[in-house]
Amino acid sequence: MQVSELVPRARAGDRGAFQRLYEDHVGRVYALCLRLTGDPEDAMERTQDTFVRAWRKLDTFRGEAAFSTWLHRLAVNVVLAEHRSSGRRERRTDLAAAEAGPRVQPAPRAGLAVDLERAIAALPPGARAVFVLYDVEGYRHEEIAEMAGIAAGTSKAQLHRARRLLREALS
Amino acid sequence: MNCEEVRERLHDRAEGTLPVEDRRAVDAHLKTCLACRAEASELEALLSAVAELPREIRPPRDLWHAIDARLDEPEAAVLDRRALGRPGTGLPRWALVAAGLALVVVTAAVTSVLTRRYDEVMALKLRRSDGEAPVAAPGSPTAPAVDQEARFLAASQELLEGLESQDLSPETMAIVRRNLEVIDAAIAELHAALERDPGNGELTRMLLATYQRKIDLLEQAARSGEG
Repeated sequence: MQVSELVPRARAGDRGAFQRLYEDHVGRVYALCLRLTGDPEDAMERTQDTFVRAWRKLDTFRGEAAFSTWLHRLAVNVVLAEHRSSGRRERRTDLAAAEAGPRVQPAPRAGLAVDLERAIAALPPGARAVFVLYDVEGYRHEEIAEMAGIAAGTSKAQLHRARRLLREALS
Repeated sequence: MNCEEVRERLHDRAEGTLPVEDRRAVDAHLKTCLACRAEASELEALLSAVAELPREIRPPRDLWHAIDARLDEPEAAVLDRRALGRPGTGLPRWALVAAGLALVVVTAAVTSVLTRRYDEVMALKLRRSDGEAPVAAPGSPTAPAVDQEARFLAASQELLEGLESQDLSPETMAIVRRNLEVIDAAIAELHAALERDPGNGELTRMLLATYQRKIDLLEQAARSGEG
């Protein structure tokens, strides 16, 4: 059954159809949440939140964009909202890390993709979010700025910072 | 163009968005500057590696059952994090953290008991499927589970009273109470279902997930009082 058939069924309350949508999309949503949060447990929690919110908001999905695009945007909003709510805690963490030295440590050599995933997870939260959204997910700076509530220039600066830290970590 | 100006433009160059004139100037600089050339190569290698990252990663455990258990919750059950985190609604951190820690300890014990019960039921089922005669599970986990749960509820009540005694906005308090009520109702329903079908491992897992949600809510309330 196609997404175009599953969405109306799920919107009408068909949990089986929604479970199919979950099965088809959970890998992309979890990958996005994992890279944005840098923590598997957080990522699973945010993945759950995303699908619960999607279930409640299915009637707002008009079909102008692909369902996957709509769902990923929802996931980004879920993760960024959580970032904002725990902002004070993260600022304290960042300060502690700055006092302790560089946050990104060289990753053990275990394949470039694995090293890269580890290095992304070790980035400071703001730089990590922009890097994942821009370089991995393909959002534009203007879109990131709107979602994260920052200036487009800040998004660009965070991207350059993230790339520099990643190059240092992987070199 | 000096090294600093070149390095500022390496990102646009790697993305193919650098204007032609700038591109020529940057490329001319790279031919003569080893350090900038190395940086350009590293950046291109990084972006190539990023392009190769897998688009999908399956979560370490299936999340559907936990999601399914939450689909019937009313909208009010989703904690309004912005309201809880709003300046001026600071919660009594010492009381919340203490109650939160107590809940974590007690719930860990409840989880242990319930998990043991689930394991015992599964072991019993396996023995049955092997053709072996049913064997009663050793001991009765029901009494310890009830005891631990009573402590869990008492700690929850203590936390709620602590919240009520503080200068909390009615709106925020209403959100917290609504969320707790919904979660408690779900716990009660799951217990009723387990009474009827004590060997149902799926119900046990849903109950554990619901306890976890209560802890998440209380921990979040505690965090909102930080700072």
